[in-house]
Amino acid sequence: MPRSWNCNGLKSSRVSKGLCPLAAGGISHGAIVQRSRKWNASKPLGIPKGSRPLAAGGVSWAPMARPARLRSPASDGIRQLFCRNGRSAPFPLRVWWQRRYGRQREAGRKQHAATTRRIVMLYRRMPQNGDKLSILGFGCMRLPMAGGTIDEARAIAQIRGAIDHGVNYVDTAWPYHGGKASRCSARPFRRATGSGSGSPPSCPRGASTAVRTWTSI
Amino acid sequence: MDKYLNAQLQRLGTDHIDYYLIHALEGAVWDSLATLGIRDFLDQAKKDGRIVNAGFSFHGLAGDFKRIVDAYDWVFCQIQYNYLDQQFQAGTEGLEYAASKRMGVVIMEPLRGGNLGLPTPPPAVAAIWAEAKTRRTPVAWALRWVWNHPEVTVVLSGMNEEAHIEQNLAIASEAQAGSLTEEELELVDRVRANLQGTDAGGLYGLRLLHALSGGRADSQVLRFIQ
Repeated sequence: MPRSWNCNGLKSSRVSKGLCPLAAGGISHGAIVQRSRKWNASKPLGIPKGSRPLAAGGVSWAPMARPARLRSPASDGIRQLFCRNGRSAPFPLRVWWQRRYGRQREAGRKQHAATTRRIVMLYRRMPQNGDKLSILGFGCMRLPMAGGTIDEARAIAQIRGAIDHGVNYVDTAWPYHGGKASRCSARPFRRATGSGSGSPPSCPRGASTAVRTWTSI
Repeated sequence: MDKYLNAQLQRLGTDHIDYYLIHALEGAVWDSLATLGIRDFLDQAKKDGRIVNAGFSFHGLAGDFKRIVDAYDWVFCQIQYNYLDQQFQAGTEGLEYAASKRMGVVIMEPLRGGNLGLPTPPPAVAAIWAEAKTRRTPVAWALRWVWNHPEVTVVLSGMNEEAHIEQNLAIASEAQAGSLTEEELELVDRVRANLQGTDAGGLYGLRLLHALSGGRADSQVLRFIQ
């Protein structure tokens, strides 16, 4: 058994960092305890984020938002009966709780991962100058259209959104959209910097406003 | 050329362009630009800070591509590349040649104008994709195949729907170089063999023509595509 588990089997560090989606819903009232080798002697570790005191002089901390599905008068009663002063439940009860709520926690975590797909931009370096460019660039040859011309508001919002997700290479050229693409592709940067020059602040170091252009001879 | 660059800077509302490309080069265009002093122009623009890195985009033959790569101190280039067009224009040969000269390579048309990403591929192709252990959309296969090359720096996407942008961002999140397995690469190869000779190429040509000429049929552009 790792040292820092609370009585629901939640790893304290994960709970306090808010990484466990169900951390707030355990039947332990969110008390974070650190178990010493002598499992009965536990001490509170601190107050998890988003908690409020349970009662004046109380020993445990109740989270603000506990999912209703994990609460019941029975579980509260059992908890009050067995887990006093932030201590974990006696052996058989603890194991049962861990199994039961551990499964729920795992299911919740999977659901959480499925609904909030993480988007992380990857970067590759330009060999000669070491600039980190986003592997996905935004091309402005086929901007969204409305009524035969560029839907400017939408195009700007799209480019801006892409930049906010880490894109730092925007490709535009004089002939794209009959000469109107450059204006559109410049505006998102202007909004980001306020002045219209340089790289947007959301871009990592070495990021560049890549602008492809056309020379007509 | 100075006049154009200054106008471009003004249009973009900036005082410098980080990655400046000479657009749509091919052998003959390069030759005329070279005689008109494009190299001096680029040197001067870099010197006075209006541009930072010089590159070119290319739509010609592989031989000309190498010639242009060698003709100036380029930092990067932009070429068309996808799993169907490995021998078209610069192609794999050009990609590797540019990388050997320490140039960054930006890829355009990774989906061939969207045709490789059609949600309902031909049945034979769909059957091949269905054999994969990791199921992916046709878009994901096409993009991941391009990103699988370590020589590739950036892949451009002409995404213009919010859903496409989100999808591409999600695909990019996992696209490390060399992350496709041998089996997966073989699968892509079979799809390529299957697609060659279908009308995807023709459709693509029409779309590109449309985009380049701003909707007008233009005999010069047509010749350029052929």
